[in-house]
Amino acid sequence: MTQNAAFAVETVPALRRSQFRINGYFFFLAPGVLLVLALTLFPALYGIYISLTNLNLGYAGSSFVGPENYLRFFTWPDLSLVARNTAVFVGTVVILQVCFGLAIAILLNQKLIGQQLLRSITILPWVLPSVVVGLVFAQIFGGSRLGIANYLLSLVGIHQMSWFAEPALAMAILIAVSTWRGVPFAVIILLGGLQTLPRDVYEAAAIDGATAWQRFLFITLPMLRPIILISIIMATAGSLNSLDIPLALTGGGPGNATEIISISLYKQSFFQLDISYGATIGTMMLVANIILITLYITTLRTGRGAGND
Amino acid sequence: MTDLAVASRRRRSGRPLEPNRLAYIFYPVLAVAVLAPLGWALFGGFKSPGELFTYPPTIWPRTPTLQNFIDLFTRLQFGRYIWNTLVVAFWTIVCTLFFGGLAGYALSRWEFRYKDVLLVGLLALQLIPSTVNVVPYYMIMNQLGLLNTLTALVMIYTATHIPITVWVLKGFFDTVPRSLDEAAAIDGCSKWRTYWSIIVPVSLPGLSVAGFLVFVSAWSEFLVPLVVASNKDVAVASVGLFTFFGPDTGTAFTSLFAATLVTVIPVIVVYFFAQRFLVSGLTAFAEK
Repeated sequence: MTQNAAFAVETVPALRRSQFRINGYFFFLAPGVLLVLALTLFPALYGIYISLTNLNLGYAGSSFVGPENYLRFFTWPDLSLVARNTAVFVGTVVILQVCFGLAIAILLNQKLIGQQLLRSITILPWVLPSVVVGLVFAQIFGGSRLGIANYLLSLVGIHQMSWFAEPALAMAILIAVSTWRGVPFAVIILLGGLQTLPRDVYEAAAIDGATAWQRFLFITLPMLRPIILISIIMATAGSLNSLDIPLALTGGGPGNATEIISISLYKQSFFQLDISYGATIGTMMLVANIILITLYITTLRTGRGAGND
Repeated sequence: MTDLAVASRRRRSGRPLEPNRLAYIFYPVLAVAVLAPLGWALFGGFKSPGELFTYPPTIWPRTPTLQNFIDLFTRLQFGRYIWNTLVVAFWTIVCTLFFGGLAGYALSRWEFRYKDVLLVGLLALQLIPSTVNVVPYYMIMNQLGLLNTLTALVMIYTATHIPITVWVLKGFFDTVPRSLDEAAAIDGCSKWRTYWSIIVPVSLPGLSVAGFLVFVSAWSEFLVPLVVASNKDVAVASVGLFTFFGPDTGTAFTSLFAATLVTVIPVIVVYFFAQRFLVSGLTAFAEK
């Protein structure tokens, strides 16, 4: 009833119409927004609540225990290992993704024959389900003798390696595969940015005799700064939160040599069934994500503000 | 005078900014880096389990066989996983476009306080990763009695994809002239009817872009279904793949490759069909 009134025709008297304006958009907006709040913001808050209990899927019932899980987290024997793994993983992946992403974006920005086709190919990994990527690369590196990767290395005289048994190698593969999957996204963002750069600046520089390298260093980099920052933030968030590829590729192994924070969260919650501890790790990750999201939004705002000047 | 002008014009449109032909060197490098692993998986799907592990390895299958695919759909019942994925993707697209479209229309046509805050807020909420939320999702769906149902997946996917849909569709609705709304209002259409019978039909391109984005994303979703719906009856393709072929299982890798192919084909078809829209939609989202 009220809904019908709210959507009533525009021919209603002026007074009613102004009321319609207040109510009208609300009915368009509310269902979607409520759904988003209910299943993104509420779970995040609920996760914080769970982290303050001793909920364990292995036992019935739970009670409020306050910050106990957080004390456990900070005295956790594996914390330093997991923190180091996460830092190495995220740091390397971000650097590789953004550097490759920028180089490839510049390559694809050249108006050369076949550029369109190469662009399609480059972006392809971005649409592939990441589990598929993880599993396929797990087979490619395979065991000691079985993987195609070992065969290719043996062609250049490098003897065979058991990739997933060696902690450093396993981490290197995890980083390489995550980069492979993540570079296209950086390329998309950076290429979009490159295409907005004004051509006449480059022409002026070229006329003044600037070399291609100088143009990159003194025009592209400074003008692209906000976009590069965005791609750094996105790559950081993407690798920090990534769980699909690590789970499918190494599962945190060998031992816990590639156990990054997201893997810990999964293992604690669904292997150890210590779901409140998992929620605690989740809350710590949420804090990191809030920082990243804030950075992202401020970068967008300042970037846009500078663009409008 | 004129000579000088001609010379400078020629110079301006000429050499220094010509694309560097050395770039061609990197073309094959890039193409191989992306396509070689995929090709290995593609051809692997047609090999017999024995051939995959021959040494030295073959690239092109020596005796191509469809046995892996037959196996996949009969013994491993992969068809059911694909079907589940399709059902979830379909309903996610429908619900996302419904709710996201209405919200996008409201944000495009009405002015109200805190509109910017709402738009940015949606963006921020979209960025809360599912890794952080899986534990609460598990508990919420457990309490709602929706664990191991496709409904739970549709609910979660819809909520997490509404923000990007709102952004894409608001952007599209902004380009639809307001005079259409005004004309409809003069003819006595309510906003509701205006939206459904005027705006939606002319916005089909925008709706398809959003639909494609949601499809690609929903199709690949892994962590949420792994935690919330891992039961064999409701598993989606990504979960099926993982539980068959994950680190601790002994299923033949040839079947993995066949399953990979089946899982990836719908996404690749959509990708090549709608690539330009997907990329521009995503770029717009990343830069707003």
